[in-house]
Amino acid sequence: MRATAAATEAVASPSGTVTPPLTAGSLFADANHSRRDGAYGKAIVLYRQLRNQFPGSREEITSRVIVGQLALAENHWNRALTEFDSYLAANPSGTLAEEALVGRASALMRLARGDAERDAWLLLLKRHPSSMHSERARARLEALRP
Amino acid sequence: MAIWSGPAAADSAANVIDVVVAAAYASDAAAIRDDLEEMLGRMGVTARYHEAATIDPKQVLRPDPDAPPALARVWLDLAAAGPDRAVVYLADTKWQRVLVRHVGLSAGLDEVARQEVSVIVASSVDALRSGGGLGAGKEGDVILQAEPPGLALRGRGLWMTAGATAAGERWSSAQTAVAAVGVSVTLGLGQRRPEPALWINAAYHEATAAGDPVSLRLRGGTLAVLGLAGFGGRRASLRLGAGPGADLTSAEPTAAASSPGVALDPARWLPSLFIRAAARADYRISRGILVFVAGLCDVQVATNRYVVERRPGSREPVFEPSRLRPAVMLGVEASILGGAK
Repeated sequence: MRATAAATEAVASPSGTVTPPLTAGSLFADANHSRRDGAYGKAIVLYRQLRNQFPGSREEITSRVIVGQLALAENHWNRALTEFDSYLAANPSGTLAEEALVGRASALMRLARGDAERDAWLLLLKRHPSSMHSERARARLEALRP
Repeated sequence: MAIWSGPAAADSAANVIDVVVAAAYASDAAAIRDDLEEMLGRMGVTARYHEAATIDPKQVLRPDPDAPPALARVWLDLAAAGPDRAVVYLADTKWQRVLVRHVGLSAGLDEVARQEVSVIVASSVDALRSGGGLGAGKEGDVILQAEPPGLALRGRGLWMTAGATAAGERWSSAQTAVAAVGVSVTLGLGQRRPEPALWINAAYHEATAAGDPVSLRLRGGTLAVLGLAGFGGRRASLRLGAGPGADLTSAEPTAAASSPGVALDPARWLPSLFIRAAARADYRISRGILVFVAGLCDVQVATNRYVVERRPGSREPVFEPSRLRPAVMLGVEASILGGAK
């Protein structure tokens, strides 16, 4: 809470101009803006700052899926798995829960953790039996059959 | 809706999607577009963007035969669906099925909501690109079947309801009420005001006109076809109209047991015509069911008079129906076509 309070205070710069208070919304917007510009490294830094300064905020929890998908795209499977797991832990029936479950299973597939991957696809099918990703889930379950 | 055009015509349809965005503010549409471009770009998918004032779900369900091939078609209703939700429509490659997914806007269409919409679209497109089928992802999501182009009646506002009726009719001053039960079909065009409709009602009724020494058993059917003009909203409306009708009535005389000398005519079927005026109040109790109460008045073109001839030249009426036949009708109808009427 102290970090949040400090972060939302306006700060006077040496030149006398006032910097707008840092909020979860502004940090999230800045991170997304960097990501849209293709500055993925800067975006990741800002998402991390969002997590440190505004943990548990709507913006921070939503960013976990975005960061997870970025990590998947960059072949950082363990980091992706952590992000998707943390989203589902915080918001198991959230708007992006289906996407987080798919991302989680995809990360486990890349990590060659067959048993965990199978459980992940089964969980997706259990919670979202008609998901657009269900065919892929079934195909993977078939491939993982001992 | 949108005009199908765009810079990606040379791209393979397997990697192109069409996105129609309806947003209250141009900045919202632009932000969604920027997000989607980045997320789709990571998958090698490009999008043709179109802006629209509103998203009409009926048009989403009606495949456009002139639309160019696309991996998917997406409609984002960020404006008109309501202040508490955005709606994502996603049609598959053949435009045969449409996913409808709602995104709650607990804090309005803020950055979080825009990101959620973008992630959902990108993930859905990725699933389609990977050969996945269109399905409902979570409780509350809906899968709709797109209509074949030639049968897109709902898009033209055509609707039809059908059900049952019960009525009390007053045939003459000598009777209280005659019960009638029937079936009712209403066919309308919902895109015009006042809303035109055709109301067809067929009913069966039966009554006895008691007399001395002869009584009359009357039974038969009525068919009326009325043109209606509707006023009001989706939940309640008043319809006024008129139209022709026909009765076919069986008149069967019976003699009292104490009058053995009476010679009875055989039972006969008698047709007659009438003009019906109606005022009908509809109330929709659910999306597919409505109830109504109607006040009717039939004006007989010609009436049949039933008499007993006690001696040649001396006729006394057994039953003499009034020229006006008022009635009160209750009905319930279910939607057969165009359930969103």
